[in-house]
Amino acid sequence: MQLAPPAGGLPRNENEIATMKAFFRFRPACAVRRLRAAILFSAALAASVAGAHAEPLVAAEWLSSHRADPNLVILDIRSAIDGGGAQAYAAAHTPGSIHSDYDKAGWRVTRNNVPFMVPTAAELEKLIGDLGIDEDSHVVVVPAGVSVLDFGSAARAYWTLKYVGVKEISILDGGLAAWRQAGLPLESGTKTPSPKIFTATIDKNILAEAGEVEAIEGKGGATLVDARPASFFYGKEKAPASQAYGHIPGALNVDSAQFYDPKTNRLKPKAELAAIANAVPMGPAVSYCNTGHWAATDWLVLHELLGRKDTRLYAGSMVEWTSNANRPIESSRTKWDDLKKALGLGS
Amino acid sequence: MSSASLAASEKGAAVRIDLLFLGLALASTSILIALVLLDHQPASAALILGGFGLGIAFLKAEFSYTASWRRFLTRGEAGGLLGGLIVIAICALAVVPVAALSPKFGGAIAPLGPSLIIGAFVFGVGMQLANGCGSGTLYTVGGGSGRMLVTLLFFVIGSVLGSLSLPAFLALGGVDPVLAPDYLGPWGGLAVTLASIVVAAALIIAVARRRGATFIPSRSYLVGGIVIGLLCVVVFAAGGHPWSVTFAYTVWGAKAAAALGFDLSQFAFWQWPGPKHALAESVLSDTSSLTDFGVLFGAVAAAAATKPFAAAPWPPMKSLLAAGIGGLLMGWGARLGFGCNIGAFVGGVASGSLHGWIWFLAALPGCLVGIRLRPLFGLSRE
Amino acid sequence: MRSVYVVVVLLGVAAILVDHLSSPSSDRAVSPEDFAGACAPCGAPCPSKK
Repeated sequence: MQLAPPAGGLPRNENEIATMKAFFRFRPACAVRRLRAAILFSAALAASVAGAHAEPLVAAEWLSSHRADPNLVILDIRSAIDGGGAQAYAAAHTPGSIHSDYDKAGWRVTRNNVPFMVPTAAELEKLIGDLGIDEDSHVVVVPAGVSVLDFGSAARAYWTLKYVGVKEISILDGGLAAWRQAGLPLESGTKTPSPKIFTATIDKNILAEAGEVEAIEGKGGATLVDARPASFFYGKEKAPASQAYGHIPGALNVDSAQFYDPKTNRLKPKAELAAIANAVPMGPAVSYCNTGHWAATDWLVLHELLGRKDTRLYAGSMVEWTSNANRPIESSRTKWDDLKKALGLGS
Repeated sequence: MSSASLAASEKGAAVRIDLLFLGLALASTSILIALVLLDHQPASAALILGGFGLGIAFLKAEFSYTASWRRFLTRGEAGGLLGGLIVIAICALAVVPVAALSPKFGGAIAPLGPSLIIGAFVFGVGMQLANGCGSGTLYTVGGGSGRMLVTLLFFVIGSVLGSLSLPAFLALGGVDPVLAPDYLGPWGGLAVTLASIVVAAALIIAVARRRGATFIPSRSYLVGGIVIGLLCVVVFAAGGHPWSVTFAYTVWGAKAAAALGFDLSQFAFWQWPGPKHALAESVLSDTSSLTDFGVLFGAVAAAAATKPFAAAPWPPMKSLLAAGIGGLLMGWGARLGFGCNIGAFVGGVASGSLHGWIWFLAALPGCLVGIRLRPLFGLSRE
Repeated sequence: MRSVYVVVVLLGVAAILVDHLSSPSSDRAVSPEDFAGACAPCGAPCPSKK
């Protein structure tokens, strides 16, 4: 509703005067409609400002006070990776949370004999919709909080939700362990979610596929970030599902464990994260590991916490990369390593 | 010093096994075979074993190209030279057709030009000063000759120098390899190759006759020639190409240079795919090295199985000088000439490549020069 | 002479072992070297290619 003079100063001719008079004519019904619109608009604006920037990490206390929020879905993802799973969930979980086994529920699928791949949009719509999550949900992912490995599960679940278009996602900082430490109450039993229709809006900007990584390896244009421990990077050990030892030529080794503080079972403070991430030159980056698990942590730190929005996840990672013998590998592995492995003294 | 007396054998001489060196040879060979098998390379094990057999055969037959060529050049005596041709003929029966018909196998080829001729000539000089050629150096080192250790050392050094020189000599010009099977097919090529060997033999016999010398190969050269020819086929089958002796020396020398801090990777030779790969990878990935290790240890085993090993004293300094110079010339010449008597002559002719005969015809005059220089170092003319 | 040979053999085998064990692992088949176009066993290029 414009109450200020039109731009350009006062009207100079009759047309403009007529337009102004028509605009400012007082009509009660019209005014009421406009007022209501204004109120609703402001309320929506206020609400969206309040929730628009779901923090990537939320504290246990925050979750405790917000757990009754509409649209909040607390997703417990414990699995065999952290030594838990559906049984651990049933024994004790944060009140109101539902469970999805990160390892078994279909967050990653086997395709063309390559395991741990990103499911299709249809598969994800079903997986996520069945959990009662839709486009308006604010999902809080709850890992066990026991190691950097299980944090990676949360990071990968986070990434997957973002990939299919869920807008508001958070991870419970410190996981269930932090909830327990804070002395907050736990529930037992199983809460069955009411399925919703979820329509995916795929965000291709955070995924890198094999073809793109091949192009980067050959011609540059982005930094490849290898999120694995140094022994994997140098080829001293490999994931069982990988066909070869080593890393993608030109990659930088930024072990995801560097970002994690095992004493507090949380990511390190942002300043420390930034200092570690300084090793990755500014500009586009692609994070990978063996199956896109450790790499999800690196992606989360770079993309969500440090605001480096040109960071993508190569979800297929080394297991996919090595499935084709024509793709180059760089490795420091020697025949001595091979001999040790043959004699049962190494990997 | 451990040796055990056994019952007397041929000619009543006591056979005394030198257990130390026999043990060393067998243990070393076993270690190498174990390593390549752990690496899932049974063909590499076959190369080592084929070489081992060659070492025994060369030593037992005293199958010397160097001495037999010298005897032919000085006296017209052709038996040994013809024995060497037997090796080539048997090898050709396998190499020419298989290399032509199967993409997994290749013959020994080389461009024809100044590099080939100069290299072969220089090699010829060197082999007479050194008293051994490519195969000769190997089996006499294996036989325990200290003099040959010096030759081998300088052979390796000369090979590295040759690798640095070769590109420049190639630039002098030349024509692409000429292979009989390319023009005549596998069987026509084989026929022409065998015919060329027969013609060469006829010419050699004619020369022997004119000089009143013998030309029938001795039993050693006859049986040795056949056995060595067959083992050459084994090496060809396992390695995919004919036996190459001197490429290994080039690789050993370059690896030693690298270990001493010299970066050879900037030189043209070491940027060609084959040498680059050989330098970067394990020495046990090089077919030439595998066979050569086998020959060395086979010869040691054969020598140690019948008498005390390395019992001869060091020869005089002049002789060692000839050994060193000879080795250097052979190493350098073999690189320019694309191989030695085995790699270029035997391998080339057995592949139906014209360069084999050109190598031979260029090496013979070199031998003449070398023979003439021998007395300067206290070596015999014959 | 014997002692020289013992030393030479032991050093030689040791050198082979060190070279072999420090060389790159070949855990998967290396893509075939481009030896095509080589004109000699040492990999020299053909005169006609100059």
